[in-house]
Amino acid sequence: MEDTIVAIATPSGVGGIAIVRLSGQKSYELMRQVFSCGKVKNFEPRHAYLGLFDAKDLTDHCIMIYFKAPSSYTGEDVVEFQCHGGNVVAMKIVDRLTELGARIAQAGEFTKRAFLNGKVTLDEAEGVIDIINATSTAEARAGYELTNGALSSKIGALQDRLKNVAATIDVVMDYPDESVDDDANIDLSREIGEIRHEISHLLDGAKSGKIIKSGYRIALVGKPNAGKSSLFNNLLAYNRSIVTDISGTTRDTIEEAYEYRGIKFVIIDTAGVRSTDDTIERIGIDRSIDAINSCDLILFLIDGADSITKEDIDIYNIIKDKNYIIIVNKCDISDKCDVSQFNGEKLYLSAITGKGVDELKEKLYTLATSDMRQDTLALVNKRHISILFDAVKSCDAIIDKIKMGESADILSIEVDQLWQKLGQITGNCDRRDIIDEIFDKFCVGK
Amino acid sequence: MRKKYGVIVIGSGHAGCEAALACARMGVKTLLLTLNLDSIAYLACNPSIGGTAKGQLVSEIDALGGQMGIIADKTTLQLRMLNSSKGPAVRSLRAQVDKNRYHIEMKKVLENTKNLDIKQAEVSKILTNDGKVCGICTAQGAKYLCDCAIVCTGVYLKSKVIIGKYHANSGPNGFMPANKLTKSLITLGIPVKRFKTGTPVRIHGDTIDYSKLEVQHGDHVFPFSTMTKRQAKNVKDCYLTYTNLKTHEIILKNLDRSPLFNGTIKSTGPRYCPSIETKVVKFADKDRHQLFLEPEAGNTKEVYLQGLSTSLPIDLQEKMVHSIAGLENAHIMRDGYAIEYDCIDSLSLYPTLESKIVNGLYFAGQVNGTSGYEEAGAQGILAGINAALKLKNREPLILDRSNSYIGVLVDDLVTKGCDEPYRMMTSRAEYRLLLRQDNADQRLTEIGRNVGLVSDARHKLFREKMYTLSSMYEILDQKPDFSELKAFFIKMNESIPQSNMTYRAMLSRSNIGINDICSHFDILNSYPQNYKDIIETEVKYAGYIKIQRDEIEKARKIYDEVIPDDINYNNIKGLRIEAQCKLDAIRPHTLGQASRISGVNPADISVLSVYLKVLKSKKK
Repeated sequence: MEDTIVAIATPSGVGGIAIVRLSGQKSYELMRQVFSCGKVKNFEPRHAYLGLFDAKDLTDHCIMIYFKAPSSYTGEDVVEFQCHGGNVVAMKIVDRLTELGARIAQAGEFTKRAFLNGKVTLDEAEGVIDIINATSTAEARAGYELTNGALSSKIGALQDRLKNVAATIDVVMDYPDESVDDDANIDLSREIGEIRHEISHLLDGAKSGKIIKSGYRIALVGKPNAGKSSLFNNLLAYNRSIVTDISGTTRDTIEEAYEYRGIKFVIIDTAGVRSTDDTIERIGIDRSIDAINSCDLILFLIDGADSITKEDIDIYNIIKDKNYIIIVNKCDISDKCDVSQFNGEKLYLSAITGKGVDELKEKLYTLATSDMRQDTLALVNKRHISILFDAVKSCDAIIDKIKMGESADILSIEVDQLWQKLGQITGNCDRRDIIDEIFDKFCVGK
Repeated sequence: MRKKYGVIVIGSGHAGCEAALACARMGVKTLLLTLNLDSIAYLACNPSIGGTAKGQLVSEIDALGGQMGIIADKTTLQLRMLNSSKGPAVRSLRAQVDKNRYHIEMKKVLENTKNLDIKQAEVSKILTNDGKVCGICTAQGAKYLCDCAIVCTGVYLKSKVIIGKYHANSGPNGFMPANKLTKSLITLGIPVKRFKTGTPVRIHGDTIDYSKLEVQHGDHVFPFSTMTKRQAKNVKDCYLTYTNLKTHEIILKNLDRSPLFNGTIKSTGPRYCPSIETKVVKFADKDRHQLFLEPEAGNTKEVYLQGLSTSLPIDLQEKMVHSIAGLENAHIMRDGYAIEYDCIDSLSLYPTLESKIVNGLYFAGQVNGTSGYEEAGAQGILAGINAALKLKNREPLILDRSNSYIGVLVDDLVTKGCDEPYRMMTSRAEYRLLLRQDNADQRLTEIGRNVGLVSDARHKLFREKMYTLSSMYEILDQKPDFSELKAFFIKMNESIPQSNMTYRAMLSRSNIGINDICSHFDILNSYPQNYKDIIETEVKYAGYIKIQRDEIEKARKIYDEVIPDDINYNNIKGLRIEAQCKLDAIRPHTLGQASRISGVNPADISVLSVYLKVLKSKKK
């Protein structure tokens, strides 16, 4: 027997309502122990009851809805309590229910049960789990698009095109006597080329997906005292309440994240970058270099109150081929620093007073979103990304084979496999579809 | 009269003949009952055997020890290799055959087969005892006892012929229908449905103006059967002509008189075999459709007009034919007609073709909703083998999608069913590079031998072939003189390699063919061309063949998991109701088959696979 699980189903933080969800065989029984609604004895499924939740040291009004298996999100008996927002009430309810025998759900466990009970498809389940793991609005939206089958429908459209290609190749093989050649005269390599283009366009969404999921990564570099830490704190201080700690933080590079207009930004404060013989410092510098190489953008801080030093030039040489913006700090104190020897976009600000920091944030937002391409579907799921990468490779192989004059049987097998590969995302690869296409499109048969 | 047989086969079409021969040859006392002895192995529609994907089926029947390929070879009028330029996976033989001699030769074989009785009678009832077949009754009043029965009734169950307003309760070509058996099947609980098909006109050859037609000659290729020693002789030609706008106008103006369009025919017809009415309506932008003129037999002037299937009234048939180039004065000897018939829902069968509802009752051929002589023969031989194995208390034979088109056919039938008559197509087979016509014997002859159907003579021929192929490979694995190789590469316009290589390595290059190598280096010249072709395919496509083999292995690990017969899908927590219903109705044999059922999604399969694992661990 599956145990009964409980969790707060709404995002943490301030909100008008919080929902606590119970799922499992004991859900109804547990609810009866803590919830009362006048003289109601038998709660009807799918009815909303306004009543009292008794959490021993706290009694509060809440709305209770009971979903009877299998007509529920997880396919099991589910009870939802809609209580007053904020974490206090919801946590009390969860505590009380766990006292009575429910278990705190693991991340994604409701969806996992929904999937195992056949309530959602793999595609949808992956989408919902991404929503659960989502830590920012954009990530939640990407998850939502997947749940809604946005990816499925795009891939479905590509499958339709491939189905047409497959039917066109197959009809000539299955009906060698028939003069369908005129109708079957499509430019195969162009068609596959276009499909490849569409898939790689979707894969651009993998980059957005990465930004959405992991955040837009910004490395702060600059010599000591250029103001890295001040800027770091200033960027984060803006909305401290939703700043999250990133695990695995080393003492040599510090990462923290903030959200701005729905996008997650991860700021990495690097140790200084300079040549050294000190082994420990060397490790710190290596990590900084790693951060520089793996980030989406580098903010190169220059102390505007000082003149350019050899250290600045060393750093510039390391980053000059990468994606960077030059930040001239301390613009409130002095403008004596001549940065004209460095190429690239320059922003003037004061990390201490905060002057120019809003402009920087807006700038970072623009850069992050331009990387994300608004018209691309954000791909946040690793399995999908790897299938699509494979699919691009298959397209290239097919185009090569067409050029080499490979025989129709081989081409048809390759196209078939590509079609099935995409079917791993949509779950749709019934070979009868291709046969339907043949008969819809071509006039064949004796 | 209460004679007892092991197996009774009902119907002597292409399924019935293969089924009866398989049983008798496997040593089972067999009775073959037919409505009319003159309709044995009758080619009711086109006078040809084979074709794309169907040629593979014929070779597979042959490889298992069946008869169709042998008779087709014996009665061939013209033989062609289709798709020869489109790659080895889709090459298929098609033979125009003499339909009269085809019937006579098959009848002769049946008559001379040990353990086999043939009798003309209409079966009216299948007798059961405790859910198990125990005999049959004939309409004429006889009763025969048996342990298994194989229903191969083709299109004869309550068949109705339709031409315009005319309709008659008749089988094909005026043969009598079987009007009683459907009721017995329904009483037993077998789900019955109604399908429709059709056939074109036959015209008198002397009234055709051949000067206006394109001729189609045969190819010099090797025949279907391992047992046939000689290459086929092409003794007749086929011709090609086209319909035109005038033909189409005649049809379009008279659609209200077409049974297909005025509602007279309500049953489901096949899309791959559409009537000319359907083609003209559905593909209105085409200004012509091609028609093939095929000889019906060597001793008749009747010509079959492929492409002009119709159920229009006869005056319109006449007008239509006369509007076509070369047929202006053609005399129609037999009218085209549509035919409706009862068939069963193939989802009620196991992959052995035994009914899930009645123990010992098998179904094969068109009665299962398929179409085509080859599809019928393929099912016939499989049902025959399985009925015989059952009587011997041996494990049943289940062919799968990776070893044969027969496996694809049966899997589709019992997993997906059919909502229209089912025709085999290469597009249906995912592993078609492995399911070639040239290796049907390598795939199936040892299987046929193991079940006891492949004769000593056939088995010996097969072993000899395998031995020959391996000695050919031994030669190919040698290297020529390096200077010879250089000369050869220069001749072939290939860049000269750094070091010497084997003949096999040369052959794997895309621009070098086996005959180039054989003639330049003077090797393998005494070996037959069809063996050389096999080797060329195997070497050139070795990479692809390996990929498909690996895929099969991978799938096997996941999907070969057998689902116990007594599984109760309602007990499996987490299966969606729709999946429960579908799985319960179809009762798949393996997890792989379950995964191919429409309406069963990947989540259901993972639930099912988890359940099976739990079940297994509990048993331990």
